[in-house]
Amino acid sequence: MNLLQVIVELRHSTPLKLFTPYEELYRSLAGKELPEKQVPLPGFELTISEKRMRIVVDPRYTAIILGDIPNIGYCIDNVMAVFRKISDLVKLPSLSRLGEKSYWVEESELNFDELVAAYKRMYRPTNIVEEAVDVGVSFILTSGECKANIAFGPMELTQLESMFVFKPPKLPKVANYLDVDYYLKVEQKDITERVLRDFVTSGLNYAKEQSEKLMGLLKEGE
Amino acid sequence: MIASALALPQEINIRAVPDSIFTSPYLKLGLQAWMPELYEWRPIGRLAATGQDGQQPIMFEIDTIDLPTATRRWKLSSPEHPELKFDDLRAGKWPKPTEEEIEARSKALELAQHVHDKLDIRPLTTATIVRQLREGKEERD
Repeated sequence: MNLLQVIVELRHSTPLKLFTPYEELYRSLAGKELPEKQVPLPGFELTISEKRMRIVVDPRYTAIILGDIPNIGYCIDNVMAVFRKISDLVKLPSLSRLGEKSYWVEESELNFDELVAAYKRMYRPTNIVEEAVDVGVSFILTSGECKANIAFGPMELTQLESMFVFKPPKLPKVANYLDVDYYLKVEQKDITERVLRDFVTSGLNYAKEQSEKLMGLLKEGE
Repeated sequence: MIASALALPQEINIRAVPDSIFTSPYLKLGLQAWMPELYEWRPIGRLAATGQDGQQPIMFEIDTIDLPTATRRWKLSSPEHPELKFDDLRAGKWPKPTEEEIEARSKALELAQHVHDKLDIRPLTTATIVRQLREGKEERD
C-alpha cells in the first residue's frame, strides 16, 4: 500500500511554557504558583505549502503533518528536523502520549460494491454482514509497550479525499484504505531525540507491516 | 468504509477476521468504554479547534522552510553521475550505469572467469579425496 499521510503528535503532560508566559513570570518573580490558572495562549499552526507539511505547536500538543512522503527515511528525517527546531526554542515538557498516525491507500481494480463484497468475505455470514452495503473495521493491537489503533476498509474517491489534510495529486476511484494510529501512553516520559526517532521509525515499520498483512489477507480471500 | 466508532456489539461474540494474521486480541469494549479511547484518538487529525478553552490556533502559511534535514547534512560527490542527489539514493533510485562502467564491469567479469579457469576451481568432494588417496595421487583430475 502507498503511504500518503503521516501525523506525529507529542501530547504534553503539562501545557507548553511558551503558552503560559504570565504563570512563568509570576512563578519566577514571586517564587510561588499563580493563585488562579490562566488560560493558555492560543496554539500556533504553520502550513508549508511546497513541502505539503503542517506544524502545530499547541499548549497541549506538538504535531507535524506530512502530506508528501516519498519514502519512510524522508518522513523520519523531516519529523526529527522539525522537533529539533522546536526544541531549540523551548524545552518540551514530559509527555503523556506519543502518537503516530499513518494513512495507507492501495488502488483496487474492483468496483466499490465488489470490493465491499471482498471485505465481507472476511466475516462469518450473519444477517448484519449480508445486509451491509459498506464495511469498516477497527482493532486495537499491541506491539511491545505500544498499542496501535488500526482501521481499514474499502473507500470511494469522495470519502478518500476527506481523509487528507493535503489532497494527494492522484487518488484512485476505489481503494483499500488503512490508517494505523500507533501510540504509547505513559504517565510521564521525557522526550529525547533518540526516543522520538526510535518511536517514529518503529511506528512506520509497524504500519507498513500491517498494510502488507491486510493486502495479503485480501488476496487470500479472492 | 464507515469511518466512525466501529465497535461491534458486545453480544456478538465472533472473531471478526477468522484465521487471520491479525492475531492480537480484539478488545471487546462497550460503547461507553470506547468513547474516551476514540476521543483521545481523534484529536490527532483535527487541528482546527484548540479545545477546552475554545481558542482557535493562530494560522500562518509559507512557501517553504529551511530544515536541518539529512539532505542538507550529506553531500554526494559522484563525478560519473553529477545529477545524483541524496534524496534519490534514499528513495532507492540508483543511476543507470554509464557505457564506461558497463564496459569495465564486463572486463572484470571476463578476468574473473579467466582466473577461475586457470586455477581450475572445483569443489573437493569426499569421493575425490577417497579416490586420490586410493590411487596415491594428490593433484586434481
